[in-house]
Amino acid sequence: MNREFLPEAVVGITVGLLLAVLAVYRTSKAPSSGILTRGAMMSVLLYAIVAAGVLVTEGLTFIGLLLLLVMLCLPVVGMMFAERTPAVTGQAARVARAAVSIGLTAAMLIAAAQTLSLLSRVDPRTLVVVLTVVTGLLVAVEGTRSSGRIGSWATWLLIVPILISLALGFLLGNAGQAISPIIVTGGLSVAAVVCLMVAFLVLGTADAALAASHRIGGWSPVRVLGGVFGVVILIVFGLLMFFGGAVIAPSIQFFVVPANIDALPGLAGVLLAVLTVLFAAVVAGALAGLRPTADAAGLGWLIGGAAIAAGVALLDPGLDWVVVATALAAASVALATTARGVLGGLIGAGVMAVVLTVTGAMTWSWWAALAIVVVAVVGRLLSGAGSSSSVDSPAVSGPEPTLDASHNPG
Amino acid sequence: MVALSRGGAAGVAAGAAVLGGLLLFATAAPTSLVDAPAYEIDESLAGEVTSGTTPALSPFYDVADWQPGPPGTLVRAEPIDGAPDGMRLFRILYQSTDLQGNAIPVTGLYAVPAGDPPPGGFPLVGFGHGTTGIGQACGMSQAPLDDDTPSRSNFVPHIEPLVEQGWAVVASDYSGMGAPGPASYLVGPLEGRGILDTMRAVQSPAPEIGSVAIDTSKMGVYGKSQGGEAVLSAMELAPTYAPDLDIAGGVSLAPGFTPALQGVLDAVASNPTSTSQNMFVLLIARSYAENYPQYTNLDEILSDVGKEKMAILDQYCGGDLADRVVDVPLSELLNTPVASGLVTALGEAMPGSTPLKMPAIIVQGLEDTTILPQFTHAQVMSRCALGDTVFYVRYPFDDHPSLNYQARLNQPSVIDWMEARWADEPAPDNCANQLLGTTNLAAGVGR
Repeated sequence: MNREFLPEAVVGITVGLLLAVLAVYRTSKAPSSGILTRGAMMSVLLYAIVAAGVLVTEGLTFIGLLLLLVMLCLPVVGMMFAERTPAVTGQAARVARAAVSIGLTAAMLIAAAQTLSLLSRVDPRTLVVVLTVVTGLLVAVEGTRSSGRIGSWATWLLIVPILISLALGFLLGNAGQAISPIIVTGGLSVAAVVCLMVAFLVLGTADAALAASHRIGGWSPVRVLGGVFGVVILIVFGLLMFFGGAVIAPSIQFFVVPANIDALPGLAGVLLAVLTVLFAAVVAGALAGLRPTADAAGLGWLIGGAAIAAGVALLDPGLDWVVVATALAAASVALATTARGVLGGLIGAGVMAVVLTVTGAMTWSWWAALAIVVVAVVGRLLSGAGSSSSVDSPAVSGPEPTLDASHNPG
Repeated sequence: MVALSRGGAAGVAAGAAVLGGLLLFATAAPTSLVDAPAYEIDESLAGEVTSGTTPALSPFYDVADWQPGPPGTLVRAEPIDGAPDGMRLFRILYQSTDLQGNAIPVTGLYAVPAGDPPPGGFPLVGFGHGTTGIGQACGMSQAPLDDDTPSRSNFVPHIEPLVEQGWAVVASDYSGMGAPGPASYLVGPLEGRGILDTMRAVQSPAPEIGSVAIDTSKMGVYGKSQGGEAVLSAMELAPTYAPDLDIAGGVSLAPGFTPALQGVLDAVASNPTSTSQNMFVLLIARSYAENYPQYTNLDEILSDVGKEKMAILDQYCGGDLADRVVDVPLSELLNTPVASGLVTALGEAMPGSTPLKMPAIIVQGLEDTTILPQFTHAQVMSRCALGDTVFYVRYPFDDHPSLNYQARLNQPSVIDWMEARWADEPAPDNCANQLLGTTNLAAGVGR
């Protein structure tokens, strides 16, 4: 990196934010099924960002890619499980689901702030605030429509990282090495993989944004996962070719390309604009869980939730801590069938979070995986001891979200 | 807010995006680019930093009577006559370990201020020298006072001024460069062990050296080019290999890295011209073949022309060596594509994936054509992502030689930075990503 490109970087990020706004307000028509399907892809790719961040620390190989694909099915499986189960309503359940949306939003804000600031030296704290405010405004006014539209544009823009990855792979890499690595890795942590899988499964049962997106868009899980698989495979396989079969980060070789981001005037701006749209899409997608439609009743939840998510991101206890804590909250509603069960699960989740934090196990560990399962089981057991008066269907309380224009506050 | 018209809401959101952009610009972290003119090297000094002569090997490096011992143990030492006023110089032989864990003898140069130590003793710095070759005559301890030698080329711009600061400086020759042993060029874990074991070795009283009081609470590492990479490796290794050393921080000037990227290495290996890179790739080939036989060997890495040059590596050093290997294009020295086993080994040896337990300052001149700034920047990005406490300084107009002086004599000065670590001042950090809460989790913060 031989020059300063802060002005270019800031213009790129600003353009990325404006593109997100333009995506939402480009038309007043109801989003098509294609738009909602692509928006749903971004809601699933959110999990890929989390999982990839874990897998690359020890070295993401071809086997890791296959595991990643399996992992990405789990939130959708969890969502489908929840759809087929009578959902618990009431305040405790709403708090639990809101906690999941807040946690996922915080996780994406952390990922966005770390990535963009590392590439551009913008202040990540400012970035957290700006990204929260802009996406929060869009979701407040347009609900899931906004996340779907931004997600749709972001999905098209994924062509940029796909092309970069494949170009690096084919021009400077080796397809054979992608499958038979020449780089030695530390080996995948079984505990981390199991913990991720357990977390993703329970998060899927309580990810209100994913559920609302499915209910509104009626997208095919197979189609969404097929699209997600295509994106992930193309990006990761290109990187595997380039990196000799194992993507290890942080490492000097991983950052050789980002360190040349100033190679051509304008290149840094374009890449940062694309990344900003991608992160705006996943943040908006997670935030939409707090207010899937534009009903005024959810506005307080959205504003409060966004503020809490931004606060957590600013404190940044670590992506692993945030996602495990979120999974604990999700576990409280994963198997519970009564409000009592959810409440018991939430209390259990709080206790587990404290214990895991104090013992240093609030990360991708066996203990964290076990704690998530225990919380889910506690919710289920306490449900059996209570009444079923709070059971309702579908999973999210409030009016049934539709694409009708009446949900547009106009 | 929800009462806004659709157009109004779009305007508010767009306004927030633009305002956000302005805020991002206004609040950006300070640049690592220093506003400093290029450092002009004094012509009278320039003659002293050449390395066109390979010194003769003295009997000190004969280790026929050497017996294996615990790493960091001083085996023997001898004074070097004619040291500049205000300092004493010694050759030392000490115990270290190779990558297989076997004991090996390694030599080094120990330079201490001549006067009385300050209360508590002299601060101690482990120095990592830049590229001088891999031959037994190429180390720092051979002939630091003789003009035009490799050791002189590191002694004048680095070791001498550091001793003048009142620091004791111990410079490992690295394995194989003095006492016989595996070649160590850019083999981070081997160079790192050499540096850490020198710092242990000189803490033991020795009759040849006398009693030199060392303040064990004031230790650091300092290196340039190959040595910049070596000290970062030493810092990564220190918590596990030498937990007894309380290293307060490290200075890495224009560190030399070879990223384990097949495509990049193939591009380098296809260079149809003859440059100083010829010497570097031959040194890497030999060193990696010797240290990572499980991955690669010279037959895989080098062409027949390249293998013919191997004998020269044992006989010559510095500029004397570089001049003897530039008679053929680089592309004729290496097999292409580059041996995958070499890429595997580089992936293991290069620092950048293990968090540091102490802060570092990394300095780079942007006019440097020997060490490409992009690789240094990649290392810094990796360090920032790891949560390390890293202070990155870029000089816009300096090249590889002038950085030696610029980094010491300009602000922010690496000397001041090191002294501040010993004074237990909070270490500066210009990793923008660490402005979030994880800054408090960064391993080196506070020291």
